[in-house]
Order: sequence, then structure tokens, then C-alpha cells
Amino acid sequence: MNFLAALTEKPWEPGGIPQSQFLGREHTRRAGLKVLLTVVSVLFFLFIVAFLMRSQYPDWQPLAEQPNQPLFNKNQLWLNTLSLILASVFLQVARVSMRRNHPVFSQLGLILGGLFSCAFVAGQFVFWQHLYQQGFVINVNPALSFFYLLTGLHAVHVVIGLLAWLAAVFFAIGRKTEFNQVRLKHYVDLCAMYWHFLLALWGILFVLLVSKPDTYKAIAEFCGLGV
Amino acid sequence: MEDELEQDMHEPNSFWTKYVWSQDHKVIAIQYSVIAILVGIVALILSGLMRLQLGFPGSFDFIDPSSYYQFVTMHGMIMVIYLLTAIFLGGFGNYLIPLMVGARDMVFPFVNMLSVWFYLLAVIVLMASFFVPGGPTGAGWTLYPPQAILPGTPGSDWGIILMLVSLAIFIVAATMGGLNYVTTVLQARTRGMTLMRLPLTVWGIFMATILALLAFPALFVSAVMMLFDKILGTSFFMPAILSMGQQLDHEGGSPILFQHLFWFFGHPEVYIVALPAFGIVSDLISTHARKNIFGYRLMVWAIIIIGVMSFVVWAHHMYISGMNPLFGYFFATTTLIIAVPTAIKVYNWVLTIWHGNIRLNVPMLFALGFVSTFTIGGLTGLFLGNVVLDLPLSDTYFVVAHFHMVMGVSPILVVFGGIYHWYPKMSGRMLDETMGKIHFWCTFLGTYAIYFPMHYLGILGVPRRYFAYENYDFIPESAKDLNAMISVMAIFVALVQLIFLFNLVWSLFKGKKAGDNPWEATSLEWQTETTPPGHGNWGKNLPICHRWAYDYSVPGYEQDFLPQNFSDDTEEKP
Repeated sequence: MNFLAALTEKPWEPGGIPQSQFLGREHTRRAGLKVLLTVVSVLFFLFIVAFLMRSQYPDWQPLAEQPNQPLFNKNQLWLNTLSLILASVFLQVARVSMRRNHPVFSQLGLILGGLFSCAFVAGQFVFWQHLYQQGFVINVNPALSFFYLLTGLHAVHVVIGLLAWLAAVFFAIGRKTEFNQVRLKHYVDLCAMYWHFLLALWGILFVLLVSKPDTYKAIAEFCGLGV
Repeated sequence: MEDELEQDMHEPNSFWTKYVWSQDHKVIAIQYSVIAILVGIVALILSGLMRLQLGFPGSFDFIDPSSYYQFVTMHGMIMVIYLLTAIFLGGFGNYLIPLMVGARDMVFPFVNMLSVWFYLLAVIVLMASFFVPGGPTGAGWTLYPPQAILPGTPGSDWGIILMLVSLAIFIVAATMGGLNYVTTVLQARTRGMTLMRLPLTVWGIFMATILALLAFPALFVSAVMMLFDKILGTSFFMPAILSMGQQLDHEGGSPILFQHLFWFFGHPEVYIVALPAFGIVSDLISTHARKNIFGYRLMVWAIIIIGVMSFVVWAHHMYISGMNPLFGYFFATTTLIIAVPTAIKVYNWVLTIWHGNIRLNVPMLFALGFVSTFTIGGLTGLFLGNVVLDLPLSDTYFVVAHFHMVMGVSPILVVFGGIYHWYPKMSGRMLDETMGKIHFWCTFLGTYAIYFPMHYLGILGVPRRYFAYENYDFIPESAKDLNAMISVMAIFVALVQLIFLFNLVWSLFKGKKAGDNPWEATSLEWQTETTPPGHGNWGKNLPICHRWAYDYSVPGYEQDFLPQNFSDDTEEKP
């Protein structure tokens, strides 16, 4: 609402000098990450719209309904989900302990968060391998193409997050200068935000990919995406 | 504390960190602009080659149908994405945003540097497609499947792959830049600089960046999915199809799905280019007419309304795809509605000039030229926005004339106007006025001579995208003469740009010294301690903003402009 109020200002009238908008580096970094997350959300939203539209064509085959379908056995995926949940939880632990000045917990949280994320990516890779060996290659059917595309792109985002995580680790184990400490605090905060987002995104993708064609049909019709 | 450290961190101290791996927004802006202009010259040459074929069919052996389509495709894509988008956001955006909002730099300088290097990489990948077997893609700039990736279309082996990869890299670059522009405008404005005190240039670039951040993902989605179809044999967009007598492995995909995704990006793209142009023109007109911009608040609101509405008009590019008539009705309505805020802007520019103290210098000439070409191009948009008129006109030269007037010539005139206006700040020297005027009149009248006749060709039914026009009874002989004239003018206008390039280089060394504020402008970029501004822009203290950017000819003051950082309380009236 602030934004709307600002838009009704009359700048040609003398208005004095309002305070600076600058709220500190931490705030700026968070704002930058929020903008980035908006872009990533739009990206996946459009993929999901494309998925729903494509699912209404007659050659669509579900992935998880029959025992002979690729996602019928979801054990590995559940395991991977658990890894990502733990990664998110540990990064939150790191973030909170950082605020409360518990350096040991925060470092432990940071390290474990990253390791579980690596476990998630490795787990996804194992699952792709498993599908590949069963002959479920990418162009077998469109739903499977979307499965590889969406999970792959999600994994790429986790890996990009791990680069930021590496930077945070670098500040954590580097010299204890004030500069490094401030950076570490910001990076842990940003990593936690980013991982919560990735976890939520994974949840949506997981549900979407294993849903029934009737569900897609209902959503597509509701959104006017029917063919 | 940390902010000071941040500032020192990218203080350049060697040639490499100062000019090559620079994190300074001003250097990055110039890097962006130089790359964009160079790649734009390639696209200009391609258009000349196209016109050679159209004006004098059969006279040039080296142009065959395949190479013609490659010229068309690369010309379109380079001009829209790699020149206009890059120079408005990466060039003008980078240079002007921190200076105009009173910041020392972009908020994430390192990401900003990465952005320009990713952009360069995207350009190199794209240019590489000229040297691979089969050459660049000739699928048309819209890259519609299935033809874009099937044999028979030029460049369907490597050209299309490089094009899609290059677009994906460009989108990463644009996103990294965009993060900076948006966050800087929102968070790094100096004390006193409220949103409604921002110059309209910043508003235009800010809104265009938001559009870019939200629209480019659609292009990314379509590029990635098409790459999968091409390389991995998936069927996102590819229907069951026979190619060269062979049944391909694809089946069930939807080419229309691609069109929706592409135009969900493609239409906002028009405004990604137009909104910064709107903003810059507003500032040029106000400064050089020595009058405050007419209806500032309405100008801001119009920018926002246009930005929002640009996401609900995309399917007017697809009227001939066989859509549901109700769907077409909806999009025709939104298309006509978006003309309202756009028209308001045109009225406000004209009313700003009304009774102004107009200084007809080169930037002002280009700004006025823009108002003219944009109005003409906008009016033909009203024709094409209607489904019934679009159906017969869609595949003719009328459309070519329309979109070149409205988003080719118009924004390019603003790019020129902007360069003539801010070059003194970037280099400390003025561009030569005489060369500038020759450049303006030849470009302005020349482009009219090129595109105005194309409307008539379109109404005659001359189809676009054709390589040659022999043996069509409905095309009169006179159309061929007209085409020859258009080609001659196109090559003339292209050659005139050499004057501009020469002027850029010559004035760098021999131009008149500019001083800090040669145009007597109010906005903050003209109030820096040194010209060109040094690292950190503002010396020891940030400027404090006391007023909006349009205090020209204020009654009661001797000088006819009050800079944004001028305060009544601390200084005597000038």
C-alpha cells in the first residue's frame, strides 16, 4: 500500500527532504534475493502452465498410476524429499543460531544443510539413472520429458544455491574479520531463504508430476487451458 | 561500516580492473553499449543485403532463398534483443540509474559485471552461428516450430541450436542486470529522492526491467523446450509429422503452445524497448523545451498501466493461428485499451512543447522525430489490433511497415537522441552539432522514405517474408519500382550511420569541451563534481534531493532551471 500512496504524491509541490530509503546492506541483499525468487517462480509457473496445456493432448500418459509406470515406485523420491527437508531445516538452524550468537550450532547447521543438499542432488541423479536403465528415456512420452526437464532444472537451482553456500562456508572458515562475519551472517540468511523456497518448489513439482490425469484436466479446465 | 568496505572493494587500480573486469556501472554501461552497437551494425548490414534482393531481384548471385531467410532472421533477432533491449537496459539503464537516483553504484556490482560478460558470451555464441555448417538459422525471428528445427529450413542443424543457447545465455545476463536495476531503484535512492521525484527515464527503465524479469522466463521456457525437441527428440512442440517423406519420431506436440509462450514474452518485449524510450524522450523534451513535463503523475501511471497491460495482449500476434473468435475478441479489446495510456503520453509530450522555450538542438530533434514516427506507427497498430483488419493485412508489408515504425525507427531515434544528450557526461565533450543535424535529417526523412511506402505495398497485398515477387499477377509493376526506391533509401540511411560513428570517435578527441552541465538540466547526473563522474560518482557526500526533476522556468528565479539538489534554504536565489 506504501507504493500506492507514493504514487499519489504531488512532486511539483515543495515537499521537504524525506529520510533516506537506504536500510542497510542486509536489507538490500534480501530484496535482491526476493526479486530473483520472483523470477524463478515465474519461470516454473510458466513451465507448469505448459505442462498442464500439454497434458490435455491425447497422447499424454500418466507417470504414477500403474506398476509399470516410471514413478509408481516413489521410495527414492521420498528419500530425496527428506534430504531436502533436512537441508532446509539445518540452514534454518544455522540462521537462528547465527542471530542468537551460537557460532558452533550455526556452523554445524550450515555444513549439514549443504551436505544434505548434495545428498538431494545425488539422490535425484540416482533416480534418473534408475529410470534410464529401465528404458524410461527422456523422449518415451511427454510426461516423462517434463519429469526430466522440471526435476533437472530444479536440481540446477539447488546446485547454483550450493555455490552461494560455498561462499558462506568460505567466510565461516576464513579469517574472523568483521567484514567476513557480516558477510557470513547475510549469506546464511539468504541461503536459508533460498532453500525454503526450493523446498516449497520441489513440493509443488513432486505433487504435480505424480498427480492423476483427471487432476490435470480439472485444473486445466478451471484455468481455461483446455484444448 | 560494511558499506564503506563494499565501496572500497571494487575501487579499480589497474588497467584490467578499471576497463575490462570493471564493476563500475559507468564502464559496464559503455561496454554494454559498444557491444550492442557493434552487433547492431551486423544487423544493419544484413538488412542492406535483404533490401538488395528485394529491390533488385536476381542481380546478386550470392543471395539465394536460404541466405535471404538467414538475413531476415538474424536481422530481426539481433535488432530486437541484442541491440535494443541490451542498449536500453544494459547501456542507458546502467549508466543513468545510479547517477539519476543519487547512488554510488549499482547495489550488486559483481553481479552487474557478470551480466555484461554473459551478454558478450551470448553475442559470441550467436555470431558463431555464421561460421558453422549450414549457417545461422533462417526460421524467422519468431522461431516457430515445427519448421524451425526441421530439415529444409536453413540452419536447422547447428544454427538453431546456437540461437537457442545464445538466447538462454542472454536471458541469464538480462536477469542478473535486471536484479540490479530494480533493487537499486527501490533501495539505493539518495536522501530526498522519493519515487515520484525520479526522472521519467528511471521510471521507464525501471518498469521495462520489471517486464523483462517477468517476460524473459517465457522465452527461456520455450527455448529450453525447443532445444529438448531438437536435441533429445522430445515432443513438447513437435506434432506427428512427415519430413522429406519420412515419418519422424515426434508425435502429439503443440506448435500453438510455443506461439503462446513466445508471444507471452514477445509482446512485453515491445514495451521493454518502448518504455525506456518513453522515459528518455520525456526528459529530453522537458529539458530542451525548458518546461516541466506536462502531467508527470499521469506519465508515471501510464508507464505502470502500459507495463501491466502488456501481459494481456500477446495473442494479437496470433489472430491467424485459428483461435477461438471469443479469444480474439478479448485480445482485440485489450489491445485497443492499451492505446489509451500510450496516447496520453503522446498528448503530454506535445503539451510539454506547447509554449515552451524550445532549443532545437540534436537531442531535441531526435525526440521530436520520435513523437512523429511513434504516432504514425501507433496509429497503424490500431488497424492491426482489430481481428477483421488483421486477417487480410497480417501477412503483408503493412505489418512490416507498422512494426518498423513503432519499434524499429522510434526507439532507435531515442537511442540516438539519448547518446547525443548524455555523451557529454560520459566523455566530457560534446558531439559535433553539424554532423549530428545531418545525421538526424537523413535518418529521420530516410526512414520515412523507407517505411511509409511499405504501407501502400501492404494494402496492395504484397506478401511479406517472400524471397522474390515474380509471376504474381496481382502485384503491379509499380510495386517493383517502389521496392527499388525503398532499397536505395535503405542503403543510403545505413551509410549515413557512418557519420554518427565517425562523430562518436572524432568528438572523443576533438569535440568541444562540455563542462558539467552543458544542457542546463536539473536531474542529478548533471550535478556531479567531475565530468565524466569519477569512481563512486559523488565525491565525499551523496547529493540530497530537494525537488523533482522538472523545475524549469520556475517563476521568481533568475536562471531557468533548478537542479534537484538545489535548496532554497541554504543558498541565495541564483
